This record gives sequence, structure tokens and C-alpha cells, in this order.
Amino acid sequence: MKKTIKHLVSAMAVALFLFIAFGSDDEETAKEKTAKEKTAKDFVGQTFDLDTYHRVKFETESRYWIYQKPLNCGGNGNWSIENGKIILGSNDSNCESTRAKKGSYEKSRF
Amino acid sequence: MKDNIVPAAKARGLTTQCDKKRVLLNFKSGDYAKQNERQYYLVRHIANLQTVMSNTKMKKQLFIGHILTLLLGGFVYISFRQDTLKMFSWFDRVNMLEAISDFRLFTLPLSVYLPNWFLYSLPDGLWLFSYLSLLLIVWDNEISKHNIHWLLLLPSVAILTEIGQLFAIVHGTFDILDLTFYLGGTILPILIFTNSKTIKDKTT
Repeated sequence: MKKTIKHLVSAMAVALFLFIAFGSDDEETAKEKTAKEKTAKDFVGQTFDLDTYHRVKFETESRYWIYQKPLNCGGNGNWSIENGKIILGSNDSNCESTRAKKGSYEKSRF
Repeated sequence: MKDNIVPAAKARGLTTQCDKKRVLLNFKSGDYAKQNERQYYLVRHIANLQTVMSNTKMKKQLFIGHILTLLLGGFVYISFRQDTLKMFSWFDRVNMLEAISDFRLFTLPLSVYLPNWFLYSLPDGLWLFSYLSLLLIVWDNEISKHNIHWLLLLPSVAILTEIGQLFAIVHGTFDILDLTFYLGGTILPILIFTNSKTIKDKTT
């Protein structure tokens, strides 16, 4: 294969893989919503860091999963949005610090 | 003498495997012409074997290194990730969303049993692995100053973006697992597929 063709194919490969990466990105519509506008549905499937060690994932519109990085002390709990705030209910983690993450959080934090 | 090997062999009509065996059988020590003919056939035979092996390796690299890894990464995204990704709106435009949604009815509940590294980090590593496998095929598994920029373009963007997240320069959450899989997806194909002797300045 001639070098020019190789460069051309390489450029096409870069374009293809950038296209794939673009497709795996989240829709901007959800991001553009302000924290005030976001509903429980907007958070489903999203993962957020509460602090350096604790990460929470909103699995459904009512259930969340929390764990300590890297991947231990995981636990499930219920969550909801009340008065514009996210309420993390008690979770069944084996770690005290992870269980202590239940409480009320500003939506803008997520 | 060496330059005369090929014409001499061809002049005698020695082109088939039987001819090759005949030359080998007739070879006697001290008979330089026949010795050269034998060397000619051995070299040609080895060259043919190398070509066959190289083609087999390239095919494996294409199907396993490039296509399979890309499909596996895509499978993880389609099966287990949230449907707010752009790709799902693309599927909708080509009337594939309904079929994919039906498929996700079976796969999505399984996502709670899968580790986060599998769902969120592995596909990124597979993406880079697939990219590098493809480009290495294009460049005959050789790394040189002519192709290093292509090979490292997307890995650099991915890794620098992840590091940028660590310092809050780039939007997103830094994850050491993401970075690890990015590095793995970059280094492994190079280690597996590249001929170590080819990492040099090739000017031709």
C-alpha cells in the first residue's frame, strides 16, 4: 500500500473512531438543563462523586447505588427529589462512612 | 554467483515443488550450482511461509484486535448504558431504537450485577485497542516517524482529557480506572502486534 493511501486510511480511521466517541457521549439536552429543571429521570444512569472516595449511581428513579472507590463497600438505597434537593435514603453498605452518606444534597452538586 | 541463482534455476525450468525436491535430492557437496539452487528454493520457501504467517496474523489482528473489541465495546454501551447517549437518538433516526429497546429489556437488569469498570472503563480501553489494531494493520505493524502521529493521536487525546479532568480543566469526573484502561488499550496492541525491531526511523 502506498504511503499516501496509508495516510488517507489513517485519517478515515481517526474520523470513524471520533464519530464512535461522539456517539457514546451524553445528549447535550440533559446537560443543558439547569439543576432546577432536572427531574429524577435526568439523573437515572448517571454516576457522581460525592467526595474523593464515595461515588453514587442513580440506577432508577428511586434506587441508588453507592460505593467507595475502588469498588468496595457498595450498598443500595432509595433516593428522591424533594423541595429541589436530592435526598439519599439509608443504604445497606458494610462501611460506616458509606452509610453516613445518606442525607440531603443540592441538585446543583450533581 | 548469487545473482545467477534465480536465472539459472528458471532457465532449467525449475518452478514446481517437484523441481524443488529434485534439486534437493540431487544436491551433492561441492556442486555449487546445485547448492545455489537449493539455497534459492529454501529462501523462496521461507519467504512464502513468512507471507502466509503474516497474513494469518493480520487476519487475527483484524478480526480479534479490531472488529471483536469494537463490537464488544459497542455491546456494552448498547446493552447496559443509559439511553441518553447520542447513539440512541441516532438509532431512533434509522428506526432501530425499538429493536434495541426490546433487546435492552433483557440486558439492562443485568447491569446491576456487573462491575463499574466493566460498564464504564472497559469499553474505552477496547475502543483504543480497536483503533490501534486497525492502524497497525494499515502501517504493516511498523512504528516509524511517518505514522507515530496517527497511532498516538486518539490515545493522547483520551489520556490528556482524563488527566484534564483530574485538574478540572476538562468537564467530567476523573477515574483512575478509566486512565488505566486507556493506557492498557494503547500499550497492549503495540506490545502484541508490533514487531519490536520496526520501532525505528524508517526513511524509505
